[in-house]
Amino acid sequence: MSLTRRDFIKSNAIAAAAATAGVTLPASKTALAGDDPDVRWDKAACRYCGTGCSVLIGTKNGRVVASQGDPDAPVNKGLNCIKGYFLPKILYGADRLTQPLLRKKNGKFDKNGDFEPVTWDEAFEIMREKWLAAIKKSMEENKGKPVDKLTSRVAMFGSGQWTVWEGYAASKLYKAGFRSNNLDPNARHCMASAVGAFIRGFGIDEPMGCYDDLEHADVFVLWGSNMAEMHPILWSRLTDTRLTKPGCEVHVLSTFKNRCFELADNGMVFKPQTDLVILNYIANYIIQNKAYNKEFIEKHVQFNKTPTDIGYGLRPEDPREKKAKNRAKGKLTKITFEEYAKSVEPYTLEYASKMSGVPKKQLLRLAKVYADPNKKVSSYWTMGFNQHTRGVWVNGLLYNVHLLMGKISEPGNSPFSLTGQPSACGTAREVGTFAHRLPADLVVKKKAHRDIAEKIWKLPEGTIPGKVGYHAVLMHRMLKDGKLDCYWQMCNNNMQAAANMNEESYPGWRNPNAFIVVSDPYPTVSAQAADLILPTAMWIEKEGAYGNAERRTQFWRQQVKAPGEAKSDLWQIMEFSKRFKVDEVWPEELLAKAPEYKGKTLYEILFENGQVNKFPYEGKITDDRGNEYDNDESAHFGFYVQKGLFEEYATFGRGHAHDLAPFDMYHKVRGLRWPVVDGKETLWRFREGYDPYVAKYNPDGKKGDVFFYGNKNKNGGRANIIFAPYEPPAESPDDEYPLWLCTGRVLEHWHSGSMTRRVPELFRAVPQAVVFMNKKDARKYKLRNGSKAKIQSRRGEIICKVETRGRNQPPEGLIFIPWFDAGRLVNKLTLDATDPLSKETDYKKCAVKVSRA
Amino acid sequence: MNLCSLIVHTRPEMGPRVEQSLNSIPGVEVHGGVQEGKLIVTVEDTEERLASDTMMSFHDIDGVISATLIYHYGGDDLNEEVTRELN
Repeated sequence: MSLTRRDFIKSNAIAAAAATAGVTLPASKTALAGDDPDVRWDKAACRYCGTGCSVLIGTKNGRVVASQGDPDAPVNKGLNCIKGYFLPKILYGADRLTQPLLRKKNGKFDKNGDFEPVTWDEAFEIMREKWLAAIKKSMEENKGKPVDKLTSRVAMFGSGQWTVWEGYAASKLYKAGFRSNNLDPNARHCMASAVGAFIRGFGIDEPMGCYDDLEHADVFVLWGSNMAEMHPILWSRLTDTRLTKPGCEVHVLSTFKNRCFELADNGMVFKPQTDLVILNYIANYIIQNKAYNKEFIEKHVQFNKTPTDIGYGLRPEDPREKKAKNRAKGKLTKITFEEYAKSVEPYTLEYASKMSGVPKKQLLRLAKVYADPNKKVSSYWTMGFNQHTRGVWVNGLLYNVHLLMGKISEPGNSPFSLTGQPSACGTAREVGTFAHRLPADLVVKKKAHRDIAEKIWKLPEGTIPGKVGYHAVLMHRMLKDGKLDCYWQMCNNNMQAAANMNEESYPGWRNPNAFIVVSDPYPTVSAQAADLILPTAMWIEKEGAYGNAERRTQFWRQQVKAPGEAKSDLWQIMEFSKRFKVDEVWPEELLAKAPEYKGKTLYEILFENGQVNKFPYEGKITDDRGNEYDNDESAHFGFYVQKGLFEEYATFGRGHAHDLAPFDMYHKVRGLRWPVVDGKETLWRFREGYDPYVAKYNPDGKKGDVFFYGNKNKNGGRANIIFAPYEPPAESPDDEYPLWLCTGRVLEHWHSGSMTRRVPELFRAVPQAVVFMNKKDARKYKLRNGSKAKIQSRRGEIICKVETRGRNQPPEGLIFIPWFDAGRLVNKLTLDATDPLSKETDYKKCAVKVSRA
Repeated sequence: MNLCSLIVHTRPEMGPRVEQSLNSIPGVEVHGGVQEGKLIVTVEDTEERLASDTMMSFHDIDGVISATLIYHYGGDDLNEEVTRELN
């Protein structure tokens, strides 16, 4: 019998699918299944969203030829989404960048020149020149200032797609080496409001529950999360529970009808911003019906209110800011339960229905499931809550509902913030690559926290500045205003992602005073707007670690080589640090505290400190099956770089409820959810029996009781219920701009499309962004399905094809445009209004008009 | 050349109808799981259409709740003869 590779592969493919589905097939279907000895298989965390699926990668002759959903992965249990199918193809786009490119005229750097290939040496030399000039200027400006007043003219815009060690190395280089807190990740655009609410509510970041809740819950409620398209694997787990568990219900809330509504038992389209009203109504319903969990509230909850009329995070001269009474204020005031009850009292069913446009019957049905003590409710949200000028508030209002009922920190009862990026949690939040943060929830503002970081990093006291740096949106404003001179963007595409491109992002980047560096695998919109482009090794072209939304840290090994001269972000950060003598970037008085560092490079001080360079590299990485892998960074620097960085980083959190396992363990398992204590992961935090820290911090507590230890020093370990009212959005439709614009994503493309648009199949499936519109609106503006529409806001205009029959069905008065399309930049339209507390932009609400193009 | 397998989720009563629809698409084969509402499906490139495009169209089939990819092979050696000992 003559057999081809197809026969074997097909048998493997069928066997894998059947095993994952739990379906038994006739033996003949899978008879030929077995390993192909020419293909090396290994695990990797998916490159896209925050779900954190594990995929198996098949490599043959240095090229990825096959992939499979990882059957041993607890997250995706062998499943893979449609983007996952094409995952390996992101490495092989036709226009991969393979050498540094610098804008030049007459052989010299010129901001208005054309891109020309240069060597890494020339690239780093011009960077050194620009960075040094900016730092000298900052040192002049900082003369005589105390450490908590220091500012800097150099910045880095990092990423929730950075590996853990890349974020950590960047944090060291900026916060310690360059003494600049102007380090912020693109996670500012997606997670900052969630973080703000966790810290305000619980005193510690990240969800208390985990994905296991998807099987434990009786009721699912989606708040501003199109999980069916954006987190398809979690959606398939949710679907499975809905279809197999008797009595299970799905409630979906969104400002337009999306694919989740197909499974919804109670699908609700509400008017933008009125989620604030609906949540206060539910709290009011629970109180009016005396359904709240009295014992839980008495023991575990503190009631508070937050300052109101806080503005919209716009530039200070904006009239909306001048009018705000408590601009950006967030300090909580304690109130009693009775005062809280009084505050939510006006949020009646009638009022909520009138404001939101949702029929009373549906709101009541929703309130009842939260108020039913016998129903386990898991609530999920993503950008609908977070990208909100009252993002921290609205996150908090949902915690209020769960806390009133005590539905938290146990299987199935879970308020759960999903993430959009693969390591928004692991890198941006846990490593703390924000302008105000340090690793493990430490903050730059507190001296005691800076002391801890300086001690671990072996630095003299006063190295890390105590003033919060520029956040993502502020960076663009500062570039435009000439207060920021150097900006290095890594592993994201902020020219396309940031709001108000015409008035802030583009003029900022093209300011003649500014020098902009973009590290990317592809010539994105950002790269094209930069002065210097650095070609980047991506994903499995390097050893990596990501942390997903359920606190799961996952590792992978380098599977293939990067093309040409492309180098990983880690290599770029560490190699650049070699170009600076500490004497050039620190003032004499600081250096006088550590004379042994005189004459040394930042590289020597930060990375050859006896900790990061502690683990030798044997010339190759070998797994426990005997397979061998490259590790290009370790080969270059001469020690096991990733291990050294990780182990130093992990000392921040071990023993402080952020424990990570030893480095080598992560290479053997499908990730572990922190805190990992004695090799055991934690599934539900803050409850005795699940979380070892509860007994540690509350030794007299009862078995199975909760203790919110993040607040142990603030209020004795209680969670904060925080009343916040409805306040209107920054910009609402009016006579001139009569429609709401909401932006977001589609299943086939991930974020700005820099990877997925280079996969031919995905490009063909959804080649361009369309404007989803209600049929009645289309008719009103003399448009029809497929015709071209001009969409204008006060800030810009774009042209898109009209879609009235697609997967998203907006109500009258609202349009939806996805932001993946570099050819139709929707952020020319959006407003850079942010949550004044979290500084996260509201991409979901601004006013536009449409006409025939 | 692409060859992949998927699980196509249907409401159990819709299984047979979806099976029929899928089997009528060139390059698509249903191998089982119809009763469970979890169809085991392989998709291959055909001369007219790439496997990926075929898969993308599954969401438009009436009764399909989700189509989830499990396995993908994209090497250029599918037609090579393979000699391997069979048990």
